[in-house]
Amino acid sequence: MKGQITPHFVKHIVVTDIILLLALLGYNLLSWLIPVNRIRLGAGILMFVIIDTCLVIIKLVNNFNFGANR
Amino acid sequence: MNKELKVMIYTAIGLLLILVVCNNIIHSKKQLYISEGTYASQTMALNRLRSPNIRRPSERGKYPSLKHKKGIKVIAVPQNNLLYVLDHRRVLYIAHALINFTPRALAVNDARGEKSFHMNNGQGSSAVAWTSIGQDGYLESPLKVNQHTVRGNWVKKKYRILNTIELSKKDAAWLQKLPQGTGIVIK
Repeated sequence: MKGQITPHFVKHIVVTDIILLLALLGYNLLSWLIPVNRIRLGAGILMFVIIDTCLVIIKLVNNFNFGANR
Repeated sequence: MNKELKVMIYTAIGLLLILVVCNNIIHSKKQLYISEGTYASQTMALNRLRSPNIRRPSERGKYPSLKHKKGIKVIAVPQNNLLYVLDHRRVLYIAHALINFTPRALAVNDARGEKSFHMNNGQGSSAVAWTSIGQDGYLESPLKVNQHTVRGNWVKKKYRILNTIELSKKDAAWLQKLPQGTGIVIK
């Protein structure tokens, strides 16, 4: 497991989280214009935890090799 | 871009979309929605809603104008501690309120004023920005209860001043602009 979770992968997680944060901020701005529920702080943190956990699990299970030639 | 990073971003955005849809479904099932108002206007108003504080408005942004609106009505839901101001089926504003009424229909009277004092159940309370409703009811903002200044989230306080709907100071001052005869339904 230690071999899979490299500093390089952690850096990728951080970059992904920054992109997700920008996406969430954009969505929350949009919620002022269209009737969609705003993501509040608690729900946002929960979403980040779920997504990061899923990314780590995928890394451990198949190292992000999807498709026929994995 | 690194292939792994690209796949990670696509996967994360996919998961985020699924979670956002789940969040919307969960919110639509909550008891905060009333049947009298449209879903869209209620969602927009609930998005603007912030945590209750006696000193500030319940929603972010400017108060909507009540002028030239002929279908204004107010619906109070004691279970949620929320007061909905509607124009026909469109929810204009949602305010946090401590509702000390049993279910009934009332109307806004002409009388309104700055300060009031109540004595009931052995409790003395003073309030500001009051508007008379029904026979002996008030929309008002509590100032002191038994000589204790009301601060912060007043909605969770345990005192009960009968026949009052207690709002934040700014909300109570804004609701003084409700036209005479506006219907108030307590659910």
